[in-house]
Amino acid sequence: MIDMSPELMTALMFVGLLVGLFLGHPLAFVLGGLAVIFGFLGWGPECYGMFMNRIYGVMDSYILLAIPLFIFMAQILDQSGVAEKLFNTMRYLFGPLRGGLAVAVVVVSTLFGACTGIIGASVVTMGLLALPVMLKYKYDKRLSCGCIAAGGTLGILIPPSIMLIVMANQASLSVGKLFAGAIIPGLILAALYIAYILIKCYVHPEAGPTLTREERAAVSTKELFLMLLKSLIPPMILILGVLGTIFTGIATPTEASGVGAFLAFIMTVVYGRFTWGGLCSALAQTGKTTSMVIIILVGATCFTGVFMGLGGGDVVEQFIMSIGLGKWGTFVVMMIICFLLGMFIDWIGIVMIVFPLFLPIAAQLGFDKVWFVVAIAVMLQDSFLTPPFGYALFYLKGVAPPEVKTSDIYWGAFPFWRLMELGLIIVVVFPKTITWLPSLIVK
Amino acid sequence: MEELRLKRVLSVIDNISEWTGKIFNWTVALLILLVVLEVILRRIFNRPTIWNFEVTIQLYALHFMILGAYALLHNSHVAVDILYAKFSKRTRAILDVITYLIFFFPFLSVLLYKGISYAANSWEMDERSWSVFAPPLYPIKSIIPVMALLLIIQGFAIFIRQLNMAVKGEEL
Repeated sequence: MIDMSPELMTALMFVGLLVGLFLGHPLAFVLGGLAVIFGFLGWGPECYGMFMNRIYGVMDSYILLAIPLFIFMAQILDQSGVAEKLFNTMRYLFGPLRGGLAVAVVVVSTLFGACTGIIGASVVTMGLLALPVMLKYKYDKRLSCGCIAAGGTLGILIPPSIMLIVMANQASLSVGKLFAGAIIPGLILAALYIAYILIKCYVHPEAGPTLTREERAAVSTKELFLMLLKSLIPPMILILGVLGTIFTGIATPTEASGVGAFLAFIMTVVYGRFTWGGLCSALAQTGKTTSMVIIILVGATCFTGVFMGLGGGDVVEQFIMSIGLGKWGTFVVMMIICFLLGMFIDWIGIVMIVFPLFLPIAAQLGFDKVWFVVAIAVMLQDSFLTPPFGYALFYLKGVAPPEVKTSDIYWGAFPFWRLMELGLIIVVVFPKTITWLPSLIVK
Repeated sequence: MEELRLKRVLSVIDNISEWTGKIFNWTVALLILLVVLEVILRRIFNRPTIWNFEVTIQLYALHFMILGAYALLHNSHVAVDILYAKFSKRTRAILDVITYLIFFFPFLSVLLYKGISYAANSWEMDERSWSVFAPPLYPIKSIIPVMALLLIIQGFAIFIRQLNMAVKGEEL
């Protein structure tokens, strides 16, 4: 064991994390490798026994069990054609408005977000479905990309959400309460996006032209009403089946995730979209994604075990408190740290690293725990849209037609970060937006 | 001749990971059925089982742990590729050789080594959970070294390929 001050150790661990990440190594193994190296330096190899108990803690979790189920549900729902039908309906519904297609994207993403707990599926679906239509109508490329990326990202804020599940697990909070707390903030963000799109397209009509007259005439009002009804039924069933049962206390979030996955599967069968190949690919995708997400938790739990054990937590806490910015100044500093980390690390790493550090500080400053955690969840929406490392940007880049440049996607996302930050300010100024619903639910 | 044999070994490793994936991907289907079954039994028939809760948790652990190597084979583990993607194939190979030696192998070797004694300990004392159902815990604890071993051999295949690329500048 080498005698190093906790300050030096803390700094070196963070530097190691950044270096390892920039060298392109998978996050899970960078975290685990650093735990091994610094555990050895700080304590010697006898500390590795602790890894086993921590890893078994991740394995022995009824809460985290909901993650593979929600991921499978999203994969299957993706194949069911529910989003496609919704978008086709919303497109006629909002078509007469300037920027209507972009509004339709946000509305569909929001509804889809209330059915699923991840972001990949809705960004990919909207990217394949809506982006070509918007480009055909000569929509501003940046606006089109931005609304798809930001709308899809809502999927992981609006419950159900695997991010909120991991957060609940880390913060020892009830999943149901966090789910309830994130609903209004999620809707606020959706409303901000829609308002931005409408205002932008009102001022610059060329950014989002309305549907042509012939196209609008193709669907009568009565037909549209029927389409609306038909396309809204499946997501409503899923929302009631999953969120409804959680909030009324009928089912635990894990049970609800199983039932939701089952319902989504039945829907693909009913819609005649079921194929063996589709099922196998959904299972394969679920396996890969689940393993990837939870093995990051495995690496991260070893990392934080060593980090906290070597006194890194105290170092960070003293550092943040010693800046002496008071309650709200400290809050801003913590949010800025989340934002900066979000540029480089994905949400799982951030939650695992930041929660053990920030939650004690937040408690000391007297922040409500549910409120604080949901505020971080809102802040982390940014992390999906900030280059160099933003999931939503990757997914969109993967499916966008060749005429959409990477820079269109990056610049398109930019105004939406600002809206996310505005959303954060709203929930800070009006904390009831988060705390009101959780106070209503059973338990 | 040497190279041919090496190639065969590497493709056997890839196949092991691929088949673990193809088989254990189905765990999720089983999980869903079990969760739904328990909801029906408990909420509708008011006859909850004593085993479902613990069986589903163990299946969840089995699923994500054993699929680690499969996810690695398919390059699903999240990495930041902002710089990495800009480098030539050979530079990337050199970086991978270094990072695998610094981070990957030490971490998984520790998990393998400690995992074996952790699991062995559990087998020895016939460890069971503290519930009415009291399932044995040693099978699921044994998954930790299995996961580490599968990842190490898949990581080894990637490492050898990248080492070859780094040294010779050609794909193996």
